Amino acid sequence: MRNPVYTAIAIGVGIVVLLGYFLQFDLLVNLRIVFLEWATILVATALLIGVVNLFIVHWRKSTTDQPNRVNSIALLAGLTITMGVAGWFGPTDLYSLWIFNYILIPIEASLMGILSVVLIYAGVRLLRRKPNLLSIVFIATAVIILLMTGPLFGIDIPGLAELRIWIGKVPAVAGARGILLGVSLGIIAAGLRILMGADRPYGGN
Amino acid sequence: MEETYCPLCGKPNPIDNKFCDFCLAHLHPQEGGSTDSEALSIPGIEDNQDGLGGHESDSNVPDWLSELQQSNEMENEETLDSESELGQPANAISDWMTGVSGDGEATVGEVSPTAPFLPDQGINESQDIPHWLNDSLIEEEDQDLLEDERSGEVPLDGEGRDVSRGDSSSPEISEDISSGRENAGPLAGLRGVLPAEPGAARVRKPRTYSAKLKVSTSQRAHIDLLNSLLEDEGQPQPLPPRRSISQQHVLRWGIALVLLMAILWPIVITSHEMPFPDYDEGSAEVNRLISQLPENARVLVGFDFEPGLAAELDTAAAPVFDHLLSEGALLTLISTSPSGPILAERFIQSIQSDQKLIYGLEYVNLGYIPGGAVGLLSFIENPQGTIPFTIDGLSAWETEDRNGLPATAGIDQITDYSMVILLVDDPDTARTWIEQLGPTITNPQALMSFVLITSAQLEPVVRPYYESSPQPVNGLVVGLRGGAAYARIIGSDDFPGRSWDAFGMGTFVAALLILVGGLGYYVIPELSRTARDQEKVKR
Repeated sequence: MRNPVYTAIAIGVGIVVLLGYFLQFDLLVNLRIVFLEWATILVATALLIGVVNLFIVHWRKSTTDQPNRVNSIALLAGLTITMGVAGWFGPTDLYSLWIFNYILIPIEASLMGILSVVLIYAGVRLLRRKPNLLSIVFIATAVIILLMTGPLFGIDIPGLAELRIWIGKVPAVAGARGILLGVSLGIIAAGLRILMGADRPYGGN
Repeated sequence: MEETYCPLCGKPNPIDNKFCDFCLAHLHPQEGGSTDSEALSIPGIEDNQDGLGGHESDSNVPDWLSELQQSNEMENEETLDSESELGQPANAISDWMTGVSGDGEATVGEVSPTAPFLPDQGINESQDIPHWLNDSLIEEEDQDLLEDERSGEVPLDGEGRDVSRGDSSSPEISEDISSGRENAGPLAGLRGVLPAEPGAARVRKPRTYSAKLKVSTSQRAHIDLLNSLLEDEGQPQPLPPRRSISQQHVLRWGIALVLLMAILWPIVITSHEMPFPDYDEGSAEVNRLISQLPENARVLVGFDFEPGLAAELDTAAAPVFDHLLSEGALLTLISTSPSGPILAERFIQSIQSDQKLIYGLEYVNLGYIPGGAVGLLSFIENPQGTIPFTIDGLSAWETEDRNGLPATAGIDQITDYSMVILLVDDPDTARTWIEQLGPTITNPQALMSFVLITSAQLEPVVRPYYESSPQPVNGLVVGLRGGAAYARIIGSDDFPGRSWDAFGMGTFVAALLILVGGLGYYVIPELSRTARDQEKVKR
């Protein structure tokens, strides 16, 4: 049986927050602010719970004889050291910045570098795997954007810069606007479903 | 005590018994042979039969019955003669019964099951059936069968069955039925009547069949093939040896090496050869907005990007912040990403050599806003209530009971900021900021502008907001190109030329690799295939 209390709370809060956008009554505005602050606190608490749960799960994995337990041990060590340094010296201290500058950023930057190599490799093989018109258009667009985004040694190819601007402003923007419109409609539909009780992500079946 | 076994029920009886104690059947066949009806007859009934028609009681038979009996014997004399020729024990059958049933063999050739009644009509095949009827109605095959039956030669199949009758039963039963005739009772004279106790009196040893499976040579070959297949299924097949260096490996490593050399080359030679872009509309608009800021304007800066893109965004944002700080702006740093606050601190550290910013006085780091869109909306609605303290635990805002920091002095609501700058690399995060901040920015009464400094990959997503009207985004600096354009606008020499040169060389080589490599990867196999086809045509 569906729990009507959860549904009533969710719909009531949603309607109050929504009405606060349209009706500038002090009561509605203040209620909306309070609800938003509560939501922020709840999300922060959920984040803490997630970190604790992560620690517990990998602690169990590291203390039992399981495959890849070395990964769990490394995760626990990194988590403990980082939390210890940031908690003791402060998150903006030089030690914390050292961990960030010399461990986190190089790892993520190297992943981006690998991604660039993989994308170029995929572009090279694209014509071999799918030699059709769409592939040719894709490759031509990528080459034009890459060439004209960079300085190209100061060489001015007539029409290419204008073509790059046109691609960036017309086809790319048209596609992006279509995506944004679709996302907006989806969000509106999801919000209405939750307000009407048809969709209950908070539980109660 | 000696015993004999009943031929009917198989149970033991004393040897002196004439009849079985259990089923009353005759235990000993009578001398001279007897019919089945006699052997299986019940004594009481036999007595009655004897009383009615037996020769032993002729003296007790009335005259009228004797005359009737004699007339019957005269009528069936011919039949009795034929039975005597076939060796039938005619004397073992009562006279009156013989008169009823003794004509069977005279009609052996009759196909119809009612053949025993036909001789009563006195049909003679050669005389009474017209010749035309005999030829036309009886087909040739049937005539052959008739002839076979007359001669006693029934066509048999390989297993001894009667082919002419299509009989699939065992040869013994078929033979009994074909030759058997009821000699007693109301069914006397009928052919093919099932016996009352079928086969019980004929105890025979059952035929033995071989339990061995008869398999032909071809079946044996198929069995062997199936066995070999099943055995092969169970055997692990060795994988083909994997080449340590394949064509794909060489291509990937080649691309990586060429790209790395192209990027490193401008950094090594330390010569700035790539010109900055002449003009960028979005960067120029940002420059205009910053130039119009009042002195000591409060600027909210959001750091919402991943550390992997820090190099691009830090470089692009550096000239903008040079200009901003030169205008005397006071910065409030915030982020909706957990790694954002330390990225903001890192960025401030990177520009410290030029600007010498003082924490709390010229900038303040509020840290991380949890909750994504909800947290951001809460901050926009009520900044002081959502983030009351800085990342260092200091009181961020000036209130009645506590002093705030100079960098945030006079800020009660979001519209007290003169500008909001967002460094972002993710389309969802950018959309969240634009959607939550948009109503405030587009409000004509709010004298606040919103500027984005984005990664190059985000330009198509944020440009629609920039080009719409009213504008939720007032200025746009896109990637290194936007940063370089901004540096050129403000005439700054601090923009790292080496980064710009490496970026230009990297994009050029990447485009070249895709173009040349793709064409080569496609054209070379096509050419080789054409050459092979031509060689085949020549041959």
